Amino acid sequence: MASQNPNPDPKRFEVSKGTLRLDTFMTHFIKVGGVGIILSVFAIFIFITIQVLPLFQSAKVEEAAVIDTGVTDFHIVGVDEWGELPFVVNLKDGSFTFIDIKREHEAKPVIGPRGIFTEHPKYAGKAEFTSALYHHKSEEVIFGTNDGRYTLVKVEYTPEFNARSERTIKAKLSADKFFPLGKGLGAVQAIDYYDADKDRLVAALVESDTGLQVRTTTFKRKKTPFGVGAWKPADEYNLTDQIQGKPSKVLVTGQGNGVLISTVEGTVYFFIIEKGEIGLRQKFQPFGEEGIGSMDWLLGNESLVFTSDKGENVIFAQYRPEPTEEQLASGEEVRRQFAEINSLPNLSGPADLYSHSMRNRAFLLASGPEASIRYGTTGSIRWQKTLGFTPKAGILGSRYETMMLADDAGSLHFFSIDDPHPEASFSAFFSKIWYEGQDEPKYLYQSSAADASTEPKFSMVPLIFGTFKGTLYAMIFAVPIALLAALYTSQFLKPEYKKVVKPTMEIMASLPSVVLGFLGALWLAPILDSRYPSVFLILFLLPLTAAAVGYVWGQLPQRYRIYLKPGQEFLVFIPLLLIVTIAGWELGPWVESKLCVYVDPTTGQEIADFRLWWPHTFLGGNYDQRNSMVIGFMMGFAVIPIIFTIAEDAMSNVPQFLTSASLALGASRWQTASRVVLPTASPGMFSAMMIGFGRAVGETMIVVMATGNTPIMDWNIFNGMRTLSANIAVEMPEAPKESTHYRILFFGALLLFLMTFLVNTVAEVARVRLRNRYKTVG
Amino acid sequence: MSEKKSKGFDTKMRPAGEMYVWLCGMGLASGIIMVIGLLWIIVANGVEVFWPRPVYQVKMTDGSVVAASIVEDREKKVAEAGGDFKHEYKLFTGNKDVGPQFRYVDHDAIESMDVAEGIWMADREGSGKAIFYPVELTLADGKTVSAESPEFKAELQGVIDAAEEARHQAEVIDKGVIRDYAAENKELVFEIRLLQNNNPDERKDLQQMDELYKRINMLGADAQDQRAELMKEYDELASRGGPFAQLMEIHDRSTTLFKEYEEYFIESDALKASIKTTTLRYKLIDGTERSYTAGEILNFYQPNEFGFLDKVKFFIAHFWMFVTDSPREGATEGGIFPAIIGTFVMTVLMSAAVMPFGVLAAIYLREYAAQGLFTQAVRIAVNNLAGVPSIVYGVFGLAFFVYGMGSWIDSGAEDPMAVASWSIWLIVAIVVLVALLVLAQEGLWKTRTWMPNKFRQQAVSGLSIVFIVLLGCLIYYSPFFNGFFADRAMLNEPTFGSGGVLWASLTLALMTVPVVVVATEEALAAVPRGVREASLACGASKWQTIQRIVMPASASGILTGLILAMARGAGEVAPLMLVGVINHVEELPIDASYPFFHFERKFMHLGFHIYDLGFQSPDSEAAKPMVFATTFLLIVLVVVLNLGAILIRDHLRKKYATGTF
Repeated sequence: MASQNPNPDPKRFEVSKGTLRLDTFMTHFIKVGGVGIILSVFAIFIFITIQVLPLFQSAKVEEAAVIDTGVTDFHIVGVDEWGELPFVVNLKDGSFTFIDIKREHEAKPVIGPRGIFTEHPKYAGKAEFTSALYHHKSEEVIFGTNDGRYTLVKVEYTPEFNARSERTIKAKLSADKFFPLGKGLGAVQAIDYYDADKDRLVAALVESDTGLQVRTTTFKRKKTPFGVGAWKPADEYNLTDQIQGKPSKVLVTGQGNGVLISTVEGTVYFFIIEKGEIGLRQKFQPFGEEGIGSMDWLLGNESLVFTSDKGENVIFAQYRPEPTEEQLASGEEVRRQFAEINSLPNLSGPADLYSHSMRNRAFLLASGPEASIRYGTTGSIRWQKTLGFTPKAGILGSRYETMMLADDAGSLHFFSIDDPHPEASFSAFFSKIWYEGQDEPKYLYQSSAADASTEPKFSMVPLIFGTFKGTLYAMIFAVPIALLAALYTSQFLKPEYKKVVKPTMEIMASLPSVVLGFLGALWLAPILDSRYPSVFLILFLLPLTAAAVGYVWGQLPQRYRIYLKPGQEFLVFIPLLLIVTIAGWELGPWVESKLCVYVDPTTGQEIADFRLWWPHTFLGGNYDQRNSMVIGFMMGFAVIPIIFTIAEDAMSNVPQFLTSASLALGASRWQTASRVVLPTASPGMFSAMMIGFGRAVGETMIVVMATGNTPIMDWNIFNGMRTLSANIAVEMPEAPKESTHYRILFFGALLLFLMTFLVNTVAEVARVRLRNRYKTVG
Repeated sequence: MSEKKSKGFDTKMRPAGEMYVWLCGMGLASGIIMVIGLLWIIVANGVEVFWPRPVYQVKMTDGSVVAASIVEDREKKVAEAGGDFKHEYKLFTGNKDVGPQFRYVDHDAIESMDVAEGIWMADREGSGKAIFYPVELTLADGKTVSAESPEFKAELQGVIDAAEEARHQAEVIDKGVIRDYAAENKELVFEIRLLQNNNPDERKDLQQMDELYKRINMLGADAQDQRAELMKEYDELASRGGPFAQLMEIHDRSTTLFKEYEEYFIESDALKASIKTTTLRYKLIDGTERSYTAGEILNFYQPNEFGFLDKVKFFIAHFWMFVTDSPREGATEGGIFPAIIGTFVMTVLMSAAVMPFGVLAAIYLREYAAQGLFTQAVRIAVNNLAGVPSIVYGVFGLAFFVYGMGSWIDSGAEDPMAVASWSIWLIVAIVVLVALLVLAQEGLWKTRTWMPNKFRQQAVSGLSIVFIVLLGCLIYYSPFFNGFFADRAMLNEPTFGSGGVLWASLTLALMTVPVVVVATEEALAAVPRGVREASLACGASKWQTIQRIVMPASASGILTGLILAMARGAGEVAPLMLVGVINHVEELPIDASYPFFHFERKFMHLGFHIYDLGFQSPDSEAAKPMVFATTFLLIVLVVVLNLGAILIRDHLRKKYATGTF
């Protein structure tokens, strides 16, 4: 018989090859798959970081081409919006030389089919020009002549499309008449103007027999439905006497009602025209005793960029200072004046060349061969290089994508600028910035600008502040309840109840935050609105009652105490709690009528309304219906179960022999809990709070729904906040892909990720260490 | 001295610190009351929406009368009264076509309030609820039925049923045949746009020609002269040939297509017109008479005449309608069926995506990875990923899935590699693959190696990952792939390149992977060591042990993880707002038209519906009941899922508590 074979074939005990192959394959598959999945989950972090990185890159500027214009005597370079038909102005005869540029796929600019051509505007008579200035925004050139007159030449660019929708830029020059700036004047040395529908203001430095004069002239014209009349000189102001020193540059303000004059000695005079009178508003020295090298407007004509003789670079802007006590007393209006809002790194010398972007607060400065693109608001240098030539004129393209610099030999150097996020920088995100129109440096977040002249503000600080504010109020509410409940559940509660209590609390953890947010905003907030005194009363009465009942109970003789078994106290408490809550609710208005009385200043009526009273207390601050208190309550719901579950686990896992030993030595249950369990489980409790904190930090929907989402920095409990997460949820759908705004929202997400990841890691490590400690104790 | 000592030992056996124990008890009691209270508020408010309320005849002190049901009795602070509380009613008066639906009336301003005997309520299409006394019904044939006559109710019901039937038939046509027409027509319109786009030289004229075609079609039958004129112009353009001929050909197809479907349009219009042939005259409680198209009444009832059973019936019917209907009137009426379907499809897709990945990663971490410090660190990190805010995943989903993968599927890589460098990378990938196969072949084919060469194993795993990454990059940057929907994407109509249910599910799957990993790991760890060792001792391979012993034993634990993930996914809103949820959809992600599953479509979601209705709705007061009802449904869903998970987990614990080896 076969079974009697003493030596079975050893092959019988070999595993089949199929099994082994499958095993090896699965080993590889699971290893690769597992590692791959874990890696790809972590790749989220890397991916988000990659989205954020471009924010911190400086500008890439590359010389794309050099084109010889054939004109050498010029100091103005102008360009159209598309960068396809730049021109240079020959000051001698006032002729414009246009260069047709063809760009194929944003590549190197080359001379287009129309080549280089010169055009003469039709000037109204002969003149010799001594100075000129180009206004990029209106695309006009103002010329000053050697006999104290000026004229304006408008460069009208119009794009024309052919049937293939290819663009050709056409330029038309139209020259105005010559207008005198005054009588008996010589060559115009510097000139600036402001032009509106019916008013024009021209300010100039003009030579005369008595020396250099500062002249300001206004012109008016009539406008009727049938057309516009001719410009007529209106008022003439001679400012020469009011200025000490040698004037070097003149600028007109953005509203056309003011004139700025800088002197070689380093003083700036700021004149304002009011009701036909000109008056000195302010006199300031941007560099102290040092001389001024250059003075120019930034985009929007609100901020001035100065360089000193030595190359220092500062920005001044107008602001309305806090009224002094005298001004308050006299009711005098506080006037806007200039103050330094930013100071930038030095150049090697005074700026010879200046041009600002038409898109943002970037500007170009050049001093000798050194050229630099800087950003006014943040004071960062976007790009800086010592060029191989000395630029004598230049301009930044309207779209901040190109730059043209002209050298002495009459060649135009075309540069391409790749700087998609000039307004972003570390200082823009985390330090106080003095924005135009503010009266001091502030942390501001305002992502969408109303128009081009107001800039978006991207400080992360208000958002981080808001995040912590919401979290703090949630934790103040949640931590005591959660930890007390956890201690009770783990140490005092009867095990039968525990089976019900724990899942109940866990259900609470699963409540979707959108539900909590909705209830907070549309149910809780309106209820609490008129009942805050009641709420505070309840919050005060509850622990007091608990402690009082507990104390009295503890003093009772044991024959009464045996009726309530240990671990059932909380059952007594549920009705007690309801009674206290109702009592507090009803007593609240009475307390309010005693404590929170607001006297209406106009009628003198006494109103017992907490909402009116609160803003006038020493804590002060606005009252909003959807405020941090509501957030605290609702986010508390989200956080309590998390803290409770983890803390309860930690406390329950304290080895039994420790508590037994304590109890056996005669300690009461509270003594055991407070002196044995709590110290042993403290890392677990810490971990629980950290994880709760992490959850509150990232909570989105509750905050979106139950606050006003205003990015303010104020600890006031009765107004709202804007958190990082809510900010993303609210703004992300509107942010265009790969814009600065989009990347900044990613930056917010990255901050959130890092914050929660860090906090959770600390918590997790604490928990693991605790577990190991129990092991060694065991 | 001795007295002091005796104080330390309390002869009355009063334990120290009893006060604090009670304080702890208060903490627990507050926690429990909070949970129960919150659930109670949601349930009470959610259920109340469908429960019929009595309608009162409210006489105001100023003499006016309204019929209204009381929505809320609430208090407000009155500054004029020194901050005292006053009570006011929030009344629902319906009749949106007459005035505001809600009114706030001070208690003082009400003279009397009586149940309005025999008053009617009706849901109407287009103007919400009406509260009225019927007067007379005019039928399609001109016959009138007075409200006093005994057959009035039956007649009205007949009218409503007929209208319902007509509406249903029209809907069948609209959603069936006419939607097919719309889809085909859309293709044609798209072809025209593409034609215009591809012929920039002639674009203007092509646009003009298309415009002419549309104008000709708009003309009525009587404008023959004008038609002839336009036709002449049109023919002139069409005779130019080339793209013009193509356009004419498309127009011809469009015309035939319309002819083909014309009868259905006529039929649908006729059905819709038939609804409007009846009129109901009715009287408001203040005596004004009005009339309304009877066919547009959806149902009617007399809430004050309801007995308890009627109320229950009414409740069930309305709840059922809520669950199965589409939203009407800016989602303040009707149901939330699309949101339920959207949530369901998204959750199922998410589960399908998260399950294999989560389990695979967990098996690796628990069964294959060396249990050192590194694995411990990875475990902690994975654990922490569960705590990363959901919005971060949403942001990632938007950038990676929608803008990255989505636009790649639509139109290929944004910056594809040059063919030359792509080929070089292809060769590198092939080299890696060959190296991988050479290294792996010993393990795979020469099955002798019981004790695997550790270095070789690691090399294989490492190379596999390198190969996968390379392959991914090669596919993504391929210069030969131009996308499946490039034409549409070019015309700014992204298919996968904008949010949709697929991307939303994948985003949530990524978010819930850590949840599944943690739960699965716990379940795997709970399988007693003895069982594994027994299996291995019997000669089973490692994979066999996992497949046949460990996995079945931990199945319920894995299921717990999945349910928890589903509950979290179903309740999450913030990330969805970025990756494809929308407040109103015409088309569901699953329907009867080919290919049945439309994963690129945007979808509605219960949670987002709550947010949108409560905060973005133009008529938030009217929407509030719907928000509560939706909340109720979402809470039931989430709580049931969670309770299921908790029960399974407890069951699991018991099983292993008794069966320790």
